[in-house]
Amino acid sequence: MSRRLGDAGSEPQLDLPEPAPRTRPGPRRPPMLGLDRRKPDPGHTRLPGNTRLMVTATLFAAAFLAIGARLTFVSLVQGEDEPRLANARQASGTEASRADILDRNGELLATTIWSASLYANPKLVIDPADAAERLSRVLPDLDRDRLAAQLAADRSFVWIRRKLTPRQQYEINRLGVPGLEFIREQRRVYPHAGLAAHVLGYTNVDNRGIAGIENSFDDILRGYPEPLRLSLDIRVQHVVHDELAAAIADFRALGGCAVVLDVDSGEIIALVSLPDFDPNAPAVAEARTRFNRATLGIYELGSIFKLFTVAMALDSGTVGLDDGYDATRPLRIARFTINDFHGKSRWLTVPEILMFSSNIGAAKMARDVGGSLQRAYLDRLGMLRRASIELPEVGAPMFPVRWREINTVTIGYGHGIAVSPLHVALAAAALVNGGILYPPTLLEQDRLAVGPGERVLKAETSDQMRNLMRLVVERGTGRKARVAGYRVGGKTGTAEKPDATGRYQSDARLSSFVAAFPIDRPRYALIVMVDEPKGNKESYGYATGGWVAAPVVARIITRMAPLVGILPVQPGRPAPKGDPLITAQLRGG
Amino acid sequence: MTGRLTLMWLGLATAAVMGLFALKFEVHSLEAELAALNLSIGSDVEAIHVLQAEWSFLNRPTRLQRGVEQYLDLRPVQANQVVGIGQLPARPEVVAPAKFLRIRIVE
Repeated sequence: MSRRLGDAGSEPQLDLPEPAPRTRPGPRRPPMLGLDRRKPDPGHTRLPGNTRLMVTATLFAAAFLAIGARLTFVSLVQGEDEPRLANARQASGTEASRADILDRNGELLATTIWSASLYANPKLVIDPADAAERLSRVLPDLDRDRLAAQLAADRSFVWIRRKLTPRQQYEINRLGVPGLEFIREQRRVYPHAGLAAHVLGYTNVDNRGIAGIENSFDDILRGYPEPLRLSLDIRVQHVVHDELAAAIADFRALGGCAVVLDVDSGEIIALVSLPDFDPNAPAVAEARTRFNRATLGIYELGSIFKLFTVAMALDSGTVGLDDGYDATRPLRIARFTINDFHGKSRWLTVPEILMFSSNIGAAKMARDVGGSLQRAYLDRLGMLRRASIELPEVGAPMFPVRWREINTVTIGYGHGIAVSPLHVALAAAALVNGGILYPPTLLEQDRLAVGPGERVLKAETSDQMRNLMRLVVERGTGRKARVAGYRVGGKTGTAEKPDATGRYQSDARLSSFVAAFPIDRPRYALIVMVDEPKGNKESYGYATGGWVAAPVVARIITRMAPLVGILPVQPGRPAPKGDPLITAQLRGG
Repeated sequence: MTGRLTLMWLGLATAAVMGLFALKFEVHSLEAELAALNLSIGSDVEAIHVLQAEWSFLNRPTRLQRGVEQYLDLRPVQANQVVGIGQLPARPEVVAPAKFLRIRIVE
């Protein structure tokens, strides 16, 4: 209650100080956010800036609330696009930039590992002579004086040795020579050394493939993290390599080659060419060891071609199995005389022509087939073009430009046309698998995804050829290829090699044998060729296909069949049908 | 009253800051641990790779054959040593002895 000052003299007054005028928010006042209601202001005057302060404060509070809420959500609640599990990413720098190569069973054939390469900064080398001397203790094949000169030069970079082993790197590090540095480089390593040398090929210093599979799949190997699976079986490859090398040593031959392939898919199970090299050290390999005789070498293979002559004669209906030819006298055409080697000099039926490998019979049969038909069949069998194998080292066959009668006749028994052993193996596979030619491949094929292939012969012809090939091994020139329990069929081939002038030498030959087994339903076809074998005591001086190559085939089949799961048949018992043997497939690694 | 509230907010702010820094340091140390683990994983992967190459080298057929010829008395499997299950002789019937024996306990 205010007291008016002007009230003097009405009643006695106390001299009390005048109370300050009170300011109280009235009901009609506008609400000042929330602050005033919570805290009644005892006497402060409200400034106009207070509103802005309140607004800013509220905004900040809201912002912090939002951050707090988001933080809670992010840490407690899983977002949709977050990975469930952290990927185990490899630390950068340890991923090799070239894919591994595996065989069909997963064995490692080629891989890349990091290795140290040693270089020096001569400007930082204090004592070049001492450094060179110490280095040559660890790397003995370094030229000490040359190294000392290099380390004393006025350069800042000089390679000393690239791609050291971890042990060498450790030893060099222990030397403690200043000015030496290591740089990590990738190195291609082939654990099986020379076993699949011609197939795998090798890389150069910059890890680019320059031969074999390394070359033909160079971009895939460099782009893919996944390993490349080949159709090769390293166990069979070893068996073939071992037996072929033994035969070459036995008969003191120049070299040889062998191919094993799957007749139903064209997959190459083994491909060996001897002499071979170590792809871990391709620079020191001689040129003749790097030559792939199986694919690049083009040879007149001789009597093996009689298989194809008989096949085309039967398929075209020119002859039947009961027909025959007179082989009593040598055949004379133009200036040439065609004779049999250890001929029977009698009438020979078609099976006998193949069994006893009669040149006269084959020549007459080829003449009956005719040049154009012969050429057509050989073309269908793939003999007139390069094999489509995935290697850069493939040779082109040689055949006459003008296919005259003399050419037809000589090609009938395998002279006058030159192909690679791979061609013969592929064509033989087509002969025995029902008449379908599959293209060769070095990559593992999915059984169900094999292409249709190309039909080159009738199925009946294939059936007849299988029987004939079995006869060759049972009663003909291929007797040394017999293996107890495995029904092997094949054909021998002995071809005299022409010398530089083109004349055939009687003491230098190519002895080969092509086979398929088990002959009633063949799974694998193989060819073995030995270059210039010389007869030894055990072979009574003979160095023909039947004496040199056929036994190799027998030994290969004996060792290879259990590895690929082919059951032997007990003599006297019928072949077990649907009678599975539990075989334990042992996989390496 | 005002002082206490301000003090409370200040205390909360300090606690928040301390918590933040604690979290930050923990995250840093975890990141460092992660980097160290990744590095060691990398070197382990590399070592495994080298060991796989070494394993393949030691398992190459040439070396195994040499070892077999030298230390083991094994020979290549012959055809007559491999049979199918159907060629195994049938399991003889095991006749329980109790069928023919009578045990009488005589007391």
